[in-house]
Amino acid sequence: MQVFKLYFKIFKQNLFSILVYTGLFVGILVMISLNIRREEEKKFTSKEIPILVVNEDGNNNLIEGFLNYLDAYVTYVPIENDEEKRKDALFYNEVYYILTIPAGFSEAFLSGNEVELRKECIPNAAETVFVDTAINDYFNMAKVYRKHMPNLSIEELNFYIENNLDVETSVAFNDNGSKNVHKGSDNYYMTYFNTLGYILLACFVTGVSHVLLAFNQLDIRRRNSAAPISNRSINIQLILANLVFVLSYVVVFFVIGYLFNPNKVIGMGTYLYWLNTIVFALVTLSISYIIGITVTSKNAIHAIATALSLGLAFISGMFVPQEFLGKAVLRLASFTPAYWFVKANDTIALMSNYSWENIRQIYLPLGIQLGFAAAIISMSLVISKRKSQQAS
Amino acid sequence: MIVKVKGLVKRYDKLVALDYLDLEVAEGEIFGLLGPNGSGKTTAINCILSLLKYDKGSIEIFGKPMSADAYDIKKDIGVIMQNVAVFEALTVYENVHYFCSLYIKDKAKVKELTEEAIRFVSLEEYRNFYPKKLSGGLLRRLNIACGIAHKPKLIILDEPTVAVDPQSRNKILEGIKRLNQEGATIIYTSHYMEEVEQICTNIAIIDKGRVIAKGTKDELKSMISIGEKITIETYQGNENMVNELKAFPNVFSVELRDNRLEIKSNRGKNNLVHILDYLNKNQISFGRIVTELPTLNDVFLEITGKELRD
Ligand SMILES: Nc1ncnc2c1ncn2[C@@H]1O[C@H](COP(=O)(O)OP(=O)(O)OP(=O)(O)O)[C@@H](O)[C@H]1O
Ligand SMILES: [Mg+2]
Repeated sequence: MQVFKLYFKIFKQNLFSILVYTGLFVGILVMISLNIRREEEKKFTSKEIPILVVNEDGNNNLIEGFLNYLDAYVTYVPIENDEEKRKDALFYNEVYYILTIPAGFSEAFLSGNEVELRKECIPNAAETVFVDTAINDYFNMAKVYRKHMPNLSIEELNFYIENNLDVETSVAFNDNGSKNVHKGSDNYYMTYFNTLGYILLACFVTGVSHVLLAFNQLDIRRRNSAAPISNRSINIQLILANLVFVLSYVVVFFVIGYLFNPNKVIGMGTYLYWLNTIVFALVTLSISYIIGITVTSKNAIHAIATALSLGLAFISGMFVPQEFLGKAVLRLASFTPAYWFVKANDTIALMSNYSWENIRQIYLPLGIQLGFAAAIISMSLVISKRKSQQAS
Repeated sequence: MIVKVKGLVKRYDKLVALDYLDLEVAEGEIFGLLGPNGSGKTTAINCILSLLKYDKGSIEIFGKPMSADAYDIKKDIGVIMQNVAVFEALTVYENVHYFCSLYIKDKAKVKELTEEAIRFVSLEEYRNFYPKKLSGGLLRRLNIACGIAHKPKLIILDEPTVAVDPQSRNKILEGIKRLNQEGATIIYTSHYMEEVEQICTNIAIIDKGRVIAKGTKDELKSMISIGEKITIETYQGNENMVNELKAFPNVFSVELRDNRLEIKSNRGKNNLVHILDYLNKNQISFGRIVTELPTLNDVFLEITGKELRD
């Protein structure tokens, strides 16, 4: 295990650049964390979103239950049922949202027909998205219960929905106004891990490639080959050492991520983020490995580390969410493992529960990432073998 | 034979670096591979060690065919590359320790051998220095320590004294002799004929990837016609004198250049005496006289028609 030990001795020399990147990341992290806190605060004011409900369907159990539920998120403002007055209220922001329950809605809904609530709202207000989501959550859940337990009474239905949705009362806005409203913790983690992807790329390419560079200089390579140790053994030891570094680095960031998480929860979602991050760490490791054995100058490695990490981070949605990126960019990005890492994170964030059905959605992005890692590592090994008796 | 190279051919694209090279190195000798820059010494070493693919030929070391995965052969070879191959991130001690540990499994033994190697090249004071902080000569010594720490049976040194001051160079040459006395067979490449003359028992002179002469120092020298070279400083030299001197017994070439008379002659008794007699008789005053026995440079010059060093 001489090569394994040597790896860490050389590694010590590159600790500085790794620490710089790590420091940078912790900085970004604090910002994210503060940002999320602010969003958390907004959650309280969100309960006071003023809305007007125009109920044309008359009172019944379903609507009563629904309005009860919605009360937890909004404040009902009584306004005369007058077209003009309503428009004014909306214009002067007295209400943000006017919800009209059309006649016959309950009956249609309970018999399983497609029906729609009508809405008028202030354009471009994040609050309206929030109300939309609250409403959708309720009726989606109701639909699911109706489908699977058709004999449920409406009271029971309400009870189940309340209990189910209560778990998720920590709803926060997505500031960017997208339709996806994430649970607070997941929103934090999604941003955290997406950003971490960039740091992993930058740190590993710098750290790993630098160490490998030392091994792959022609003279050192020849000197090692002259010794009674096989090329294979050297490679295996190097890969092992890299794994140890990469995995411990990632674990450190799991801990930091937990400590900065405003909600301090570890659940199934957290495990999934971890899993995805470990998989992506393997991918970055393989990328660093191939760079380390093909690029022969320190400066070139720095340039590549910067270009690659920033480039991939931007096009794959590590900084800017994927939903804001153009189609062409995303199509291009989908040929890179970074895209699938972000995709998996986003998918995890959107999961309302962790049924196998939902978890299965990240099999594909995980699988694609592993595919990338395997392909790149095999390529590196071939290159390394080719190089072993070459003149340069 | 410790090393046996037969018909070795190595091409870099169109350039033929080794052209049916044959070498034989016997146990216990210091074998010198002498050749000018670009003659193929390093290429030959790299091929012998299977660090480089070659096009034709066969290589045997310790009587076994050498290959890239012949680890049982490699473990008994010590290599000192022409380019210093050490890790920048490791200290002197750590470097020697690392390379030694590639050959020796026993940890205590590795430590012991590392210490010994550092003492051998007199780098004790510098044991905790990083290579960047070492002068060229010290770095060369570190390079040597890394190659010999495991006490190999065969040591291959590729120009270990390039860019080294005379003092360090002598230390290195003495060290090599000592290693040889302790039982190691040595292959030593150089383009300095003085070094090769000084330490090597057997020599192969190579040029353009071909062995152009081989044998012991004396055998090589006796191969060429000149036995003695006499240089005389005089301000009175002239055509006539040159022609008269040419008629002397044993003398085969006389040249007058920059007020210096250069006379080359075959081996023979009293060559110098006859010449001095002649000068006195003709009342030609002269300054310094230098007589030299032929060097390997003369050998090289005579065979190839060019100087060993440019
Ligand atoms: N990697 C290479 N690619 C192409 N040509 C090479 C390569 N290495 C060496 N050569 C050529 O092969 C010939 C022999 O080179 P080599 O390095 O073996 O000479 P050498 O005797 O070791 O010279 P020196 O005394 O300068 O070290 C030279 O003409 C050189 O230019
Ligand atoms: Mg050379």
